[in-house]
Amino acid sequence: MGERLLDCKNLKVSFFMTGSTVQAVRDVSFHVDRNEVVAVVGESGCGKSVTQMSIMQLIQTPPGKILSGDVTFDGIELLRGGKPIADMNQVRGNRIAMIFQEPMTSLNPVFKIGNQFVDVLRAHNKGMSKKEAWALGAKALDEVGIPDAELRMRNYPFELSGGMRQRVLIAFAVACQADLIIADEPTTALDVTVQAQVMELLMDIKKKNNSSIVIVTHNLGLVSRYADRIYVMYAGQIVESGTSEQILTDPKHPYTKGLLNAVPQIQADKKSDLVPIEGAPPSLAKLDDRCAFLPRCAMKCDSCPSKASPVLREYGTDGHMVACHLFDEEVAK
Amino acid sequence: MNSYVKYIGKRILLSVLTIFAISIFAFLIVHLMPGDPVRTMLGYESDQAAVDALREELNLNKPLPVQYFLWIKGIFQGNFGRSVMLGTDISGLIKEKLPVSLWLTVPSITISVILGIIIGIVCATHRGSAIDQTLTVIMTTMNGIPIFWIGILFIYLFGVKLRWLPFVGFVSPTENFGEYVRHALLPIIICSFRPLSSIARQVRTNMLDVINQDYIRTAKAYGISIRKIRYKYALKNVLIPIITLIALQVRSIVGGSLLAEQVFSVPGVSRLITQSVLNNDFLVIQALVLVISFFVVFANLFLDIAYGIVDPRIRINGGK
Repeated sequence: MGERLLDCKNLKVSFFMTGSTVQAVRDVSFHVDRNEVVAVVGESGCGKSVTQMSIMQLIQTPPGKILSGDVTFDGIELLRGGKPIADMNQVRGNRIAMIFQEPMTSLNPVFKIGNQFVDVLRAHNKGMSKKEAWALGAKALDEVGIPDAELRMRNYPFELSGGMRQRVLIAFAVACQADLIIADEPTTALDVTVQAQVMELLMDIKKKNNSSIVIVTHNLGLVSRYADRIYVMYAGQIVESGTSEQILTDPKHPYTKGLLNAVPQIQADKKSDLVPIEGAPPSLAKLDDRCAFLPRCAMKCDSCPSKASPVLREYGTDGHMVACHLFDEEVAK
Repeated sequence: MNSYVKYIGKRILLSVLTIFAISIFAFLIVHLMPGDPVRTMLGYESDQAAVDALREELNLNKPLPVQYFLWIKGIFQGNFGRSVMLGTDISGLIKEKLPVSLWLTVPSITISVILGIIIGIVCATHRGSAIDQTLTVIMTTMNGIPIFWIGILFIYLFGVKLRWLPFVGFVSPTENFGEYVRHALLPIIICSFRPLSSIARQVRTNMLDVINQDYIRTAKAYGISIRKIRYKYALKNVLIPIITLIALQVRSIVGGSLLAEQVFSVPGVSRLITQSVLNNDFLVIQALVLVISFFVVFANLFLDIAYGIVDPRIRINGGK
């Protein structure tokens, strides 16, 4: 167990729309240690991104609102009881950098890459000259494997491909030497071949800068090779968490099992079909106090519908946590 | 850069073609108007021989294409012909009236653009607040009010009742700047109503749209201050489409000045054109339509070129 870098406790985030309230994040606690790669996995619309955006306090307010939660980053209190404490602009970028899902639209179309670098770097280094910032930017582009970095600095985003733009965004994080990089579906919009390159790149940077990485994804297959620990999210809650080994080889929650069955295996028998999880995630505006996975659960017991939503509890003694009534007895032992 | 030159070349060519097309249109429209200019001028009781003589002098007996050709030829020689009604040289008339109109329209468009952008930003950054709602109501009202109506109302209020401002005539700023301001203030304000409100509303909408874009989120996520995000990152993206809108509003201002000059008795191009239409003074109408179109087309060309300067996508890809 390394030194705790990010600690998030009891985060609750809702979006107040006309006529309904969407409970996007329902009491989520998680942490990231130094030098650790943590994956947050789940289907679309289960609150993964909102959780990370809330850490950065980037959710649109209104309609979104952080209702509760204590977030501490490297000893700095970011949120206490859902209220912002620190000046986020001191943290954003230079301490925690974020990489987004949509590289095509995440760079400002009317400014040169280089100028965007200069602004990002100078936002945190008051004394830095434009020239120095530009040089650092070019160096970062070089580090993320962009050829002709100096030339690319003078390009506009629309002159670069999607994979290239994602590299530029990663280069922002590199140039800032952030302690934590939150990558929100960093490869979803990219070609499969580029996906692997981007993941390798992130791992390189982690090694070089001694940073930690949070990868948010719906693709368990993608993170299985890279993540140290995995959180599985469903309907705004963490339903299972543990080391990658625990989750991948010994999944407990029916949802995690379902996710794993839905990942194609290259060694598997060609005739075996992928097993999808039937149905779709519930609307986060219409949740009752029962288990949110109940309608889709293949392993539900007769007693499940009458019980309150299961809480996340440690299964065994090795930090493997699961929220499911199937393990009520074992946990109680 | 090369494709930007091509882009500009294309715009210039299009502008020339537009003016050429307008010249044909202006010529035809005037010649298809009911009424006989010669009869109007000489009076309906006049001698047939005198009428024929004047017709001959004005080339009105020649076929239309020949008349058009002679007219254009004259223009290239700097000769717009003579006003049938006033008897004076048209080039001289234009030189006299055009500055008057420009002293109304140029300040009007400048004020509209500057104020429009400021109001739009204020509304967007205070979205939903009392300021936003009040300004939005005012802007919508301004956009809907007819110029002749509010013009007369302003004359009554500021000119007749309060006696703050004169409401007839015009003084050139080169003669007496203070008097120019006093005379031109009301027409300028009134001409600005529609363009100002259109620009303000568009800036507000664009700003609200841009502020939700992914690249703004990126800027926020990297700790760039909200001020810089608003006035640098967002504003440039907001203003690019506004350039097109300004080009459109130039037309609306020219149209507005037509009414404003009439209402405030300003001796500008628009007032001259109204008189000429009423008097069937065809050469003056043709000349003025051409001159006004030239200015509008030129303003549009200028804004198209400016578009490329502001938007790198146009500059580098040539607008493809």
